[in-house]
Amino acid sequence: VTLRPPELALQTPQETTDLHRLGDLWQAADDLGYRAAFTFDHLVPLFPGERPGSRHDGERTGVQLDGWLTAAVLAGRTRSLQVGTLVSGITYRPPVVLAKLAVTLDHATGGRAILGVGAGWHRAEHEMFGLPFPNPTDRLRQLEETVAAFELLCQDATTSFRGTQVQLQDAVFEPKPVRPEGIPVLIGGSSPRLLDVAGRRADIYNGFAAPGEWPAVHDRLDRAALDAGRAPSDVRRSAFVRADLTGDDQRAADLVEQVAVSREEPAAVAATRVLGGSGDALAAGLLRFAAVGVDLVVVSAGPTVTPEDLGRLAAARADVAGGGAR
Amino acid sequence: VSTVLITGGSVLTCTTGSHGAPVALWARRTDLLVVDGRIAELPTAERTADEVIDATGMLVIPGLVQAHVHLCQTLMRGLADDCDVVEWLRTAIWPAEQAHDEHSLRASAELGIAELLTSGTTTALTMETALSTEVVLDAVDRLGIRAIVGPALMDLQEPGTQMVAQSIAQALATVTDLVKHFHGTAGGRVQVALSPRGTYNGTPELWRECVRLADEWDLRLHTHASENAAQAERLERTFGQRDAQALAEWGALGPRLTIAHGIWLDPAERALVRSRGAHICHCPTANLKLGSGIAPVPDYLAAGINVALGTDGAACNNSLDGVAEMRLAALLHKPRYGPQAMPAERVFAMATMGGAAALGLQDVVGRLEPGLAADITCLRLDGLHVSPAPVQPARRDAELDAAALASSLVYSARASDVDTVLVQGEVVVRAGQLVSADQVAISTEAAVQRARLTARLP
Repeated sequence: VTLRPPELALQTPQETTDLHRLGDLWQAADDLGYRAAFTFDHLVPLFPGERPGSRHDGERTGVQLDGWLTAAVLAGRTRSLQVGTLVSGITYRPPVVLAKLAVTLDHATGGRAILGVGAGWHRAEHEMFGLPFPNPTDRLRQLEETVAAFELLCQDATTSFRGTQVQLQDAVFEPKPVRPEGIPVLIGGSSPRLLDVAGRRADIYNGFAAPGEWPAVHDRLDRAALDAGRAPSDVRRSAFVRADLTGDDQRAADLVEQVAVSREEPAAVAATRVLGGSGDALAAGLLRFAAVGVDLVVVSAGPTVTPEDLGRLAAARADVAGGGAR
Repeated sequence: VSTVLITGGSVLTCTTGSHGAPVALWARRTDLLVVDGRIAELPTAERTADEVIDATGMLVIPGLVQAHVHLCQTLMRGLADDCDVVEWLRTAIWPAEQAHDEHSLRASAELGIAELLTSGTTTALTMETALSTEVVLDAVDRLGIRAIVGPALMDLQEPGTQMVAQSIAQALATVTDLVKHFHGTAGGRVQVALSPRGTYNGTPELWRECVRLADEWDLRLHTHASENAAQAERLERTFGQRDAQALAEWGALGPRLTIAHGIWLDPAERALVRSRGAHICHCPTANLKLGSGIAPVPDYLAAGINVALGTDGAACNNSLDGVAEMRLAALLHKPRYGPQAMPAERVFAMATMGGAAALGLQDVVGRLEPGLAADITCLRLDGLHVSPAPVQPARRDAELDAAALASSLVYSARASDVDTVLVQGEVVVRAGQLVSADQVAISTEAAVQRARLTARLP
């Protein structure tokens, strides 16, 4: 049996005001047959390697543009990419504002929006701007109710929904999404209880797991999906992957080292979760994720990534996809 | 072999008390050893087990048995308040039952089961809607409650409603299929009942077919009868017989049958119910809320009729709280019959042994005795609302003041005092939280499906 490599997507953090450069990346990805492109959704730039649970000190420097507006602008350079944010913490905006953003982007793109959401994790920015940052249990509940309410708003003429965190009363929400099946919901994150919510509610789950960790992720997602009366295949699996796409083996090795240090894990494990190096190495990396049932690989496209880099990854994928498929 | 030991609790059970027999209570400071889903012994010496549940400070009782529930109506909580049963059916409940799809039905059943289990009810006889009852049975199987579930069968329309009647063949084909797939599964925990919706909306032919199948497959019969005075009189006008007489003529009035409500039975009907050994399920909250009346339960008990308790559905109760139902059943009859009527012990017997007998499970649940299923509810007795709890000897195997414990349970306790619940030896509630499914997911999905269901209503 030949493994089919995962489809490709990219995330371009808008920690720059050069939207033209980001637009070049999105346009390239569109031309190269990538499946999706995402901005990210924070209010301040992140420290390098900053993620849930990591500790960082020091002055935050740099810029951060709004994720949704940026996605809308960049989407104008594309024809077939699915577009969205990876991901919007549900603590930033009232559910209806988030829903309005998603359906507006959907219409702006002729039905290509993805609603990417997570439970929120960046305590510092909440404190900085005085945004409520509830405990994890309430945030997960808010996440689940936000997604549930979004789906109701997209389906019904009027919606009355009484959740514990989200309430709607005779709510009118027009227009509906472009696609009859609605806007796919991507839920991102990694805690076990978030996996349960994703198994129950998501069309796509996105996580940071290394290939060796994916079987446990699948188990949890599958169980939650089955418990909710869904098929496990209703939840597509997406892996967020750090990548060096320059084709330079030394730079790839440096990235592995950097990831190993920041995650406090052996380089051998870090090497499995990073994409980098020559075309063969990139292809092998994609197949590592394919082998554990990942459908979509989202590469993080930082400030130095070029359209040529994206082409290198697309070519590596095409080499192992067989039959000339992109 | 899996074993569970419940230690340090105050164990309270009836030993007699169904069919109006004098209530005998038994209360000890004792451990309970569960082996492979059954109560193996009440050990007097120290024992160990795979799982030890510390029930110190808790009251340990047989799981409550409710003999009339509608899981399919849990999603309709608060949809139609302050109207009588015909109006309630016509304007809200029947349209909502018809608007159910498999998703909303599943959410309704899961919510209902979660509420029942977390409030201490371990067994329910439940009447569902006409379609998709397999969804409810599947939820029963997964969430771990013991239940006897039947689709509502009706081949006559309820006057004044738009309720749809099925042909006898349709109705029976549905039940036959359910029996084949579900009856007796999960170690007997999941069963199927024959549930003609009411005396007034089944033809004699449907009723006779149900009786025949009940005999053939050894199934319970479950129906509404004599709930609303106007309904009861209408049957008399149509068939020339009152509910119990009609049921007797159709062959249905016997030990297999549980009559929900039975408020307006006249003396001749009471005698028939008594002599044929049928059971009545008292649903005091639903009867008050729909203004249906007050069943003369002390008379039924004095006549030797077995009476069980039920919350009915959340659409008319509006809760499935078996603990609150006990309190109301104890209080409701005192103004008419005097304060001695319906003491706590009697109500406790109705809610346990009475229910078990109505469901034909008298040798399976309803008491805490070796050999019976380990369907057990543990309630904390340390809340302000039960304090000061009766002082009881702490030493192992000491005899306890059973009447005082029954008083705490029936008159003071609340469903929120329920801490641990076992069904067939499986822990299904721990620290007041459902363990067999995610409670948050159930309530969120219920909110979603309620929104979908109401959006589908005409």
